[in-house]
Amino acid sequence: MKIAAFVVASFAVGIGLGLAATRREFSAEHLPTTALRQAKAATSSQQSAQLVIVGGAACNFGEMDRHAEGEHEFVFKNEGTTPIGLRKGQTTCKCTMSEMKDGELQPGQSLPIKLTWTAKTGENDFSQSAEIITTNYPAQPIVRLHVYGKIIDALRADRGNLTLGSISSSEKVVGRFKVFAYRGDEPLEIVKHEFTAADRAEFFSAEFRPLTAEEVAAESGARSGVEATIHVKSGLPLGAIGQAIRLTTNLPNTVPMNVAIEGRVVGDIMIVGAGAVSDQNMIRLGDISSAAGKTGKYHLLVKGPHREDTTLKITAVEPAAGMQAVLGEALTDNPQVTRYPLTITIPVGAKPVSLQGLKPGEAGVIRIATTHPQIPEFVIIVRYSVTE
Amino acid sequence: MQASTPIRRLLLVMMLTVLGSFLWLGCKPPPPPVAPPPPTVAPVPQITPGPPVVPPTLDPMPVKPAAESPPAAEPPKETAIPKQPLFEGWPEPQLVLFVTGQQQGYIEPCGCTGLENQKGGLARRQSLLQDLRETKKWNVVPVDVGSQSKRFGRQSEIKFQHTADALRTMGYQAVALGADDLRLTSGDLFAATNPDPDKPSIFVSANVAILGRDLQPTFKVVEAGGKKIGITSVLGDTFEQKLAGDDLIHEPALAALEKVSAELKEQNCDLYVLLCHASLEESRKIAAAASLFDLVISSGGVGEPTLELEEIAGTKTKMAQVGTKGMYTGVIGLFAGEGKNRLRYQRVPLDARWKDSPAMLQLLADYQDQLKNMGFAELGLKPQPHPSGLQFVGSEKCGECHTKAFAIWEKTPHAHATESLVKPPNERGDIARHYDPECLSCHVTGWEPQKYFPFATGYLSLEQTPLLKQNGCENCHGPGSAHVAAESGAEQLMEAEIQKRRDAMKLPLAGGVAEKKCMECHDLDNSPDFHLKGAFEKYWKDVEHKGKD
Repeated sequence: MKIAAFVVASFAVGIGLGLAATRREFSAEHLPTTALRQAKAATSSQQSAQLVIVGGAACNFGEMDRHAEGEHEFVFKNEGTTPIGLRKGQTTCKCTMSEMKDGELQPGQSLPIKLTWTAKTGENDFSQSAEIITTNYPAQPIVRLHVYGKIIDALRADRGNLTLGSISSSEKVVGRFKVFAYRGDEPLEIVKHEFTAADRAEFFSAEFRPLTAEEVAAESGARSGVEATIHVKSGLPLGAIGQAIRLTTNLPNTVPMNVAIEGRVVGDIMIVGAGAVSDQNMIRLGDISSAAGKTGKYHLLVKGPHREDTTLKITAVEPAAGMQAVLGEALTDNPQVTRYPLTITIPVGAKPVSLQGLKPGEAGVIRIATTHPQIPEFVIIVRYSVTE
Repeated sequence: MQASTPIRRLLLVMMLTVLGSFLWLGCKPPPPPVAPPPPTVAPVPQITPGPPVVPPTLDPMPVKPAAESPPAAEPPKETAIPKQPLFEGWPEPQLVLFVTGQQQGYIEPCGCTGLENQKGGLARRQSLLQDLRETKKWNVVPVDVGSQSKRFGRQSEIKFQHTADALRTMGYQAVALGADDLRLTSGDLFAATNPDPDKPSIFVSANVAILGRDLQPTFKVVEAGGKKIGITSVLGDTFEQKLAGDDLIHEPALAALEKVSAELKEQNCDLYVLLCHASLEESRKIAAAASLFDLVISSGGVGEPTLELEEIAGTKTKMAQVGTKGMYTGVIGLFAGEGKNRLRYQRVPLDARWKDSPAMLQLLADYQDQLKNMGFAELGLKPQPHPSGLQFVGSEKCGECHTKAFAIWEKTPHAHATESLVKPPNERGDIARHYDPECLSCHVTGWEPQKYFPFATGYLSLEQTPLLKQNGCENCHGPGSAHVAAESGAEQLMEAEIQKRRDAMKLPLAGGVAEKKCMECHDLDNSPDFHLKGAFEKYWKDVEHKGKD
């Protein structure tokens, strides 16, 4: 028994001494974990492999024509002493990489990798990239090759569309945009223009003036240009403007340019806020618990030529017992719009009712008397129901 | 007893030695994390071109499965390309800024066909956000640099409303008003940005306000991780000068920033952040001039944001980009200490590794429901006459004579285009999209593919116009009414006129005419791979057909 215990104990001591003796071999006083081995391998690899991309991993191609094709050759070079594994990774949508077999780049060797791309984009800036995966080069597991630059057109407007915003139906509006020519020696001229929505073309007219030398110089690469001024008469029907102007220029080999004219024609008095349907003068308050009640805050906007003279006053609220409405003082911080805060309250304890219809009697109603010459009364439909 | 004492002592020493050895083994601290490799954008040594470049012989290597970062939504394919590891070597941040922007209407992923190829979308964005908050337990401050939408009209307004709801649900702290957002009707924009007048809007701007300056905050101070962050946004002058309409109040960027910077400074924040909705060039100028800000997030730049923060020359300021179409997010960690490692940045692609969050999928479903409930008329879509003045007859009518061509078409995805909206063939199959004009325009017959409106006699609904389901013959060849009338004898015509109408239906391959027609739907947004060299020829083989049998 004693002998057996002695043998076991001696065996254990031997192991202990063995571990102590080999302790120095475990670097940095750590046990030989997998992570450490990987770290050591990485360090070793980093020391012996050196990947260089001749000229850098990014290429600024400067400017190129829209839809044109471009190419650039990146050269990978292994300046270390051990091979570097390379394989093809992802490329972005408009970029392709030259045929490349997965494999190893031996020390001292170089590998040209060509990227080709087509500048099909609606934007003025262009950027594409491609990835090369290195399988045993932890210093840079993914190498991203990057090409970028500017896209130029023969002809371009300074904006994709002419936005007029929300405009009063009773006021005329003017909008402007510039068109630049980046080709040709002749000064740009608009030789023909037309408004594409023929049913409302009578409300629109356009005039053009050549840009000054200073204005042209402010646009990089432009050779000449024209400013278009679009006049919109009052009286357009309420709703989306839905118009575009098509411009034909004297610039050879170009197709006519379309510039959308967008915005919304609104009445001189309108209600806005969460749950308001402006073009129907309607507010959706939704389902309201009688125990909780509800307060909604909105704004009545007065626009157009009579905005400063128009005053508003609530004359009736229906149902008077179940709904309250308070119109605040006129705010004129925005000189183009007079704004009246409107607070609608369904009081706590209101009787259960369903007023989800679309007309007076079937919905709540707020009647507002105005001094606007064309709008003596502004009626707001309030759709709501009160539940127990 | 005495005789045995030395032996016992020896045994005791031995046992203690053994025990000590095991304690020595067990009590050592765990190995430290493996030193992270340098960032993948570590400067590559620049060398002058050396001796002539000799292409090496590359030894074939087996493709290994990629190591994916969790959480993985789909099992890695054998050919999957490794994704960049995230947040490697980051110590625990005090807080992280989650930066997005330029969604441009892409509330769902964008890119080549197949969700696994696409990036972006609100549903993946929220999953990443949840991973940072719940798995990593980080203090996350989400901010957005604007342009949730890109188009004008009712559908864009509804999409903006739902995106604003999504941003609030995700806990966004500050959102800029982008140039495209400000094209929308101000009443709807105001309602979407200020849903609760008793709470400050998450939409902040130093130089733009909708309806009234008092209705929109100029800045916001957020507390997270024990730090105070002062955030504002600004619209660059190039965009500001193009703003139109009576309802927007605006002023030049730097003048507004000067005032807001003074107010922010009084808040004594630990970090100042500027959301700059401007081109890169303009963002750099603003960043250089507005000296208060430690960090500028720019909406400028192209599709992919850079891999590192940009240092603004001559300032302490660093700048991040967000890319376009919501395909990437930037995560910027704030760490203790000063200097180089105070801010660390990681660009995170919203690829298929991020699962769809149920809350955002519900929001997408609600968006589709609203489109359905409103209908085309309320969305402002009125069928417009086709430029040819002709009417659509449906593909089955074409197939009565062109039997072989019809049989080929039936075997193509074009013949299931509408079904793929009614029951999308992916994990988002529960969300039907056949009331969405932006989808319908290329998935039915008789719509303007790029302007999203129906032509008169084009598809209206599954029930009203069943013959105009799918992306049919007439989308490429034009409305067939005149040709059918001539061939059927409904109109008695001279041979020359009959032939003329036949010719009018032909779509020539020569001169790229057919290719251009295809690209009206296979555009850069939806089919970028269709625009690669040789792609048309490859795709054409799948649908190749000739006139009559």
